[in-house]
Amino acid sequence: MEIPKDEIEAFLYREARFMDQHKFVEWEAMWSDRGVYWLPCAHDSDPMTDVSILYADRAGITIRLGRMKSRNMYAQDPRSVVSRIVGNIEIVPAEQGEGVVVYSTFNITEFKRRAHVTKQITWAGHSEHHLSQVDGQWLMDYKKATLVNSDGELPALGFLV
Amino acid sequence: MLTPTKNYIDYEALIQEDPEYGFRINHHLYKDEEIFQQEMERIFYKGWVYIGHETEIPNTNDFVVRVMGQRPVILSRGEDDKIRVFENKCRHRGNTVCQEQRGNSKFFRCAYHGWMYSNQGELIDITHASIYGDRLPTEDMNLLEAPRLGFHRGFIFASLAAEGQPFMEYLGRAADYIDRYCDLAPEREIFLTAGRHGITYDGNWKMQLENLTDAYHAEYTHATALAAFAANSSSEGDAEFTDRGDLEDPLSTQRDLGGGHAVLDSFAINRSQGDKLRFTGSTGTLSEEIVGKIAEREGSREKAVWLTHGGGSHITVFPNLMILWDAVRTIQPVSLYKSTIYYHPAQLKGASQEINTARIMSHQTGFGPAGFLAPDDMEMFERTQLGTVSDTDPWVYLNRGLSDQYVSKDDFGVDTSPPNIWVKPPNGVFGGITNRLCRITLNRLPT
Repeated sequence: MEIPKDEIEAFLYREARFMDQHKFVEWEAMWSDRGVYWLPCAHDSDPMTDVSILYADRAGITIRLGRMKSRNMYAQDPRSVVSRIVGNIEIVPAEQGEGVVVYSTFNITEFKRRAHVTKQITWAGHSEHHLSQVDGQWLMDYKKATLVNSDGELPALGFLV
Repeated sequence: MLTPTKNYIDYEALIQEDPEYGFRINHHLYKDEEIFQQEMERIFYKGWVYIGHETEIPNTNDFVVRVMGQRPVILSRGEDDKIRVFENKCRHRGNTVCQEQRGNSKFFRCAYHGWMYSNQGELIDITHASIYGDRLPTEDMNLLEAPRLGFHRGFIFASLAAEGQPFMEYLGRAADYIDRYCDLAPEREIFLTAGRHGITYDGNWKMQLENLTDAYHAEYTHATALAAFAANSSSEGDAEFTDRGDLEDPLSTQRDLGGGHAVLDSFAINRSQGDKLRFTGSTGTLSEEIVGKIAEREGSREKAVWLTHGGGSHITVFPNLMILWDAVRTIQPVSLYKSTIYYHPAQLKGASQEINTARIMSHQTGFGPAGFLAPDDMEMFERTQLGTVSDTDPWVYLNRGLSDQYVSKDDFGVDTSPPNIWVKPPNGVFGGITNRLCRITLNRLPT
């Protein structure tokens, strides 16, 4: 299959924008019905037997977003200002099926603003997206985002990575 | 020899219990560097501290590194299969001798000058020893070993003091609750092999310690999490936790177990909800699989049902171990204003992989850096810490429910409804912990 590089890159940039802007509805619409969203704690971990930062199946993604939409999620009250660069995009055909696997690198600056205390936090890591087309639309079947400090001590992570 | 001068801290004056104010403490307990140093020395370096679990170092030569108070230590299972705790510090120039978080090694070698230690702590090689001539210390130059270890149901505790309170006396009545938790496993053992994750907050370590027995905050701080759990539960009973409303409801009991240990006891509330219970339970323990296996073990289904309703209890073992729901957690004081909480999912020996995976999933949905519960707690701790800046009114109130305390005749009874237990309703035990903490710091431990 010929890989539509521009389309895939545009997908990742759009996803980055939705995540930066806390556009939870739009971000959720980028998932397919079988979506799995995973932030492992270690590079070689198995989500069924090892603890993860986050592991959500498609239903779990909806539940998680439901909480994030609330103004009473105090870890994000007010919400962080987030800016990320997504780069080093590499697209390969999926081993099975018609989809693609996309490897990329992200670098995120989070600014937590509180009435009296502000914090700026840097996050970075690598993503692996599995995308497939449904009715001509690319959707995420799987997303694994591995933070460089995934097995370290992290501050509260209250936005989408 | 230089002896550091210790500023005298009048802890009694920082804790007030009187009819006018109930129970209140001075927020200097959260922001005074001298108090923090005294806590490290008298609690973490002289008292008993939880280090790790035997299942984290199951094989000969396994090790993990930990921090005891603020001191780097190695928890090692030696070549002789004996478990020891060493300070991670070369006796030559003081470098850490182990750089990995975990692993399997017969030796710890200091990379700076090549001194080598066995995993039993013995100094086995001083490189170019002849150069030292007769100037090598004649004393033992082995790794500094914690002189006392205590073991209970796989949990490993250490004390850096050669003498002091015997381990089981220290553990006291907390041991019973640890037993109950472990007995939720069909084979009566939990295992911590799923790794750990840690979340940090900019606040004093005691914030988390006190929070674990604060049932008061749940419906406010955790409103979004409770709503998410309730909305997505598969049984009608699950929402009960949020609907409970009246926090004086004796179904939510908190007990002072003495010695700074405490429990937010879920037995009564679990039993009141029967099989509908999910949220305040420990994942999988009310499943037919687990109840069935425990019934077989105990020879009684009734007893199995009773035992499994203990799931969900929040056990605090002073000063740094907490066991609740699906995980074992530790508090790590990093500095006066910074702390880390580590979570280790607790899997049940004898349970199916399906149940144990569900426990890992359930745990991380709630806790860790991106859980539904922990980040909101961290936010509150940071806000509490910020409040300590303003000394206009330095008092914080932990007095809720104190007037309703009472002592039971048999605090380990089957029936946990009043008046058969010693209950400190929400926040009463708060005071118990802080009170204990300060009294320990008040020269009550051997110096």
